[in-house]
Amino acid sequence: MNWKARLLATLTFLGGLYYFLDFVLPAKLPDSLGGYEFGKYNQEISRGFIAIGSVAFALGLINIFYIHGARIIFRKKGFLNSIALLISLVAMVIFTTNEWLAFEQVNKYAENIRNIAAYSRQIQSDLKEKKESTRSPNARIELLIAETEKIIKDSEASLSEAKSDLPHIVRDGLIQNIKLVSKENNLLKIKNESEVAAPIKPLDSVATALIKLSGDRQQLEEYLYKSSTTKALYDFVYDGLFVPLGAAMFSLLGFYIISAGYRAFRIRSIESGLMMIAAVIVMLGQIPFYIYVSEVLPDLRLWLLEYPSAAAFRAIKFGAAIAGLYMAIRMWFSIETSSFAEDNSGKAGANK
Amino acid sequence: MKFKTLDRRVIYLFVFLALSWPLLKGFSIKPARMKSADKFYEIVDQTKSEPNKFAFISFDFGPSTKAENGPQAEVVVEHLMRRRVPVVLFTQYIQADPFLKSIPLKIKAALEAEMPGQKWIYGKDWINLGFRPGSGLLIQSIPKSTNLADLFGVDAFSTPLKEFALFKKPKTLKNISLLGQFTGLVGLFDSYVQFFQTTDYKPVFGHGCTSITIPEAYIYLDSGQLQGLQEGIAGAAWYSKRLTDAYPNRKPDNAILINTGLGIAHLLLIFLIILGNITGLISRSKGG
Amino acid sequence: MGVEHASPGMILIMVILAIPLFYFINRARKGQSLFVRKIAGIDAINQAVGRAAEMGRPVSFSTGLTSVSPTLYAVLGVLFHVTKKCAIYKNKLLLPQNSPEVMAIAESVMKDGYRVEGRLSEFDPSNIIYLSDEQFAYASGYMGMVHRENVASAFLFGYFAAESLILAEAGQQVGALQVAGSVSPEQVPFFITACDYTLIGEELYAAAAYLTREPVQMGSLMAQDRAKIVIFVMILLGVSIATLKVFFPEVNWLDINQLIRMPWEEVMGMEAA
Repeated sequence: MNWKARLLATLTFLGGLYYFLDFVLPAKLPDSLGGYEFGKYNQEISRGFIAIGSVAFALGLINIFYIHGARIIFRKKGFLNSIALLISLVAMVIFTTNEWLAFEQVNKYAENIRNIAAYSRQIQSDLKEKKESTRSPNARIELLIAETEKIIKDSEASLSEAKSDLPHIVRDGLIQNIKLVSKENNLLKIKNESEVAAPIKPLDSVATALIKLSGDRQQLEEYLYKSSTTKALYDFVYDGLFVPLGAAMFSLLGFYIISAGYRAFRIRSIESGLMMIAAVIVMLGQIPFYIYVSEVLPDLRLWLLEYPSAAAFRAIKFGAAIAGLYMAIRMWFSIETSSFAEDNSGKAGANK
Repeated sequence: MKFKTLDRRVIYLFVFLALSWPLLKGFSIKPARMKSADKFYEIVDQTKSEPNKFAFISFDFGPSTKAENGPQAEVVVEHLMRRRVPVVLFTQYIQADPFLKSIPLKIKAALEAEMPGQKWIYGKDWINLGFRPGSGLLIQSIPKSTNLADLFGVDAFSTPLKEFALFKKPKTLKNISLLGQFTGLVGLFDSYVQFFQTTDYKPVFGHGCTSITIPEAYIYLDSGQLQGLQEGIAGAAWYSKRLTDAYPNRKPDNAILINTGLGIAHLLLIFLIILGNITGLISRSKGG
Repeated sequence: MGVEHASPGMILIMVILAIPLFYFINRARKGQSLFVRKIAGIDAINQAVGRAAEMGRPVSFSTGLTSVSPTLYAVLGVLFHVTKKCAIYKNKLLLPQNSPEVMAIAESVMKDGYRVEGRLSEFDPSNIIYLSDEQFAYASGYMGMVHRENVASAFLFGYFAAESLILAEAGQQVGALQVAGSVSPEQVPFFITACDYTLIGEELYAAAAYLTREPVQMGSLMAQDRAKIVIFVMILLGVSIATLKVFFPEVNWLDINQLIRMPWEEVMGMEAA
């Protein structure tokens, strides 16, 4: 084994060892052994792997451009299909990216409102705990009031842009919540100016009202976005093409099953005869027309699925699981020389 | 026409007619009794509307399996909403995201039309958490979480979960009275079976699967890891029938209609198999 | 109880299952010959490649939706063998791909296959075609490829989901000789219907051992059978105890499930953490 292979084997072992220890050790070791939580950073580590794995999507893209690009450049057979593929690929990337960016903009409005609500809650919390800040509480509240007034004006302006087909529930909710925010904001202003006591309750009311408004504002912005060209193009390629094509491909199965059944289901032996009887019982037992044959068919079907079929499935799953386990152990310990590994001499299967 | 080698295009035509005729004519027949769907119905029917308890429903299906999983999910969510059990909707499959929005709204409209004067409100009767990546890792995190509102953060519309009355106080796995998962993807279902529980609590689990994965799902039903199962569209049709029997004013959905078309296609398949065997037998006896 | 952290009982079972693996690999490395029964589907692999060579039509090898996992390594063993055969017969080998990560690994394996047979110049990277990571987009791309290229033999090894019948029917429509092997038992009926030979469950893992007779693989195969005996004994024990419980409910029978799942704290006699 050369140093590269050794390094790979070591890293593989250490990586596998981490997950193995995470599984065999308890969630938290007893206090007498330090009380350490071995799997504490599992999520972060796994997210790291997911991030690395997601970079692999570029490999697929490179392959597509390489193969189909070569076909187009050298005018090989089927190059027109390749042109169609690449145009579709690029178009889909453009439309999806546009849609994502546009939707981020749509979310921005509601997020802004929620940020102001969070600010209100922060002021409230600081007042309760008598925490100091760079600005005085009055100044902070004045800033909050000003920002809230901007939100109210902005929301009213957006609402006026909406056409008459905006759902009533969204329109009414918005109007109601704009009024609520306005009312709570005014109350806050009055309390703040009166300086009798820290306006903790009005701050909470403003925050709650803003959160309610943010939900309606999100729906309004989504409604306004729906009539945009970006959304229309995205809907055309995704809901209009991608989704129906996927459903159509899946529906091919129904046709193929029946044609394959006609072609292949032949009774040539006792075993195939038994299989055929079982298949007919299961099929008849789950369709509405069983009543024209026998009332006991659903029960027979259930028995077949619960006993012989489940037993066979379990047997296959046990076998495959053990085989998979052993393969995994071999990979972990790098004893998977396998039929496609090379030793230093360039010959495959070092132990041959 | 020689039956010995029936052109597959003729078969496809027959299949198309068999599946489309009930849909076009609006003709449906009472579905076959499905005991596993009965079990699913009963576990939902026994789920009480308690404060601080909710049902956790996962739609892990896309447009390709929507024909089977969609009606399954709809009847269960409808049943829960009728019983006023708060429903938290969630998916780990990006293509299911639009269904999380459309299905509850469709059910809400149907229920409010059936029962004028009663309202179903987002945030109170259902909450949509939207698509969450992370697969098995996220499912493992749910039982460990001491506050689900912190784990998920916001709903599908970016509203902080703590703003909803249901999540004002910390909620954990023990507040989930029922888990419902609808999928044609085997890997995701296995994660729920393995990890969606703690040492001392396991929510009641009902699963809706596609016809292909029925035999595999039966293993879990038999071992008690599942308490209810909807087997493809046939399961959804039987569940729908049970709902209609319990709520006579209910407008029938299309599960029973689709199931009737499926039944006719099954009969066609049985006929073709018999035909194929007869023609094969005749040709063998003739020495062909 | 969820199985996120193993109990002592589970660790014991893991050790019992792992011991045969190391023992039989050791025996195989020492030169002991180990018997493997005939598997028709694997024997047909050579026949399929030969058929394609005679007809002058390409071979296709699909790994389905397999991601980087133990299953992939089993599949790559078969791919290596098929690649070597195609290199010898100068056959075109098409490798439609679903996952970019798998594609990179498979390309490396294919190249090794050609290199081992001294035919590296025959290796054409453009035969490795990334179709899509979307299940049905992959299926439709595969169908198109099989029809356009008019493949003579098709191999379908790995993890497949609902698209399995679509892939198998595509090959059937062009008259290809098809050999399939899947770890998903629910796809087996579709492959049996549409393919000429089907490997069921762990036969896929046995395929590489069968083809190469390599000691590590052969030893592993033997160990799998012994591990199944352990599982079988546990099932017998569990069924017997469950049956006895029915007839003698007043007796406090051993609860195997509870025994296996007993947490560390109980075993060590400590308080729960």
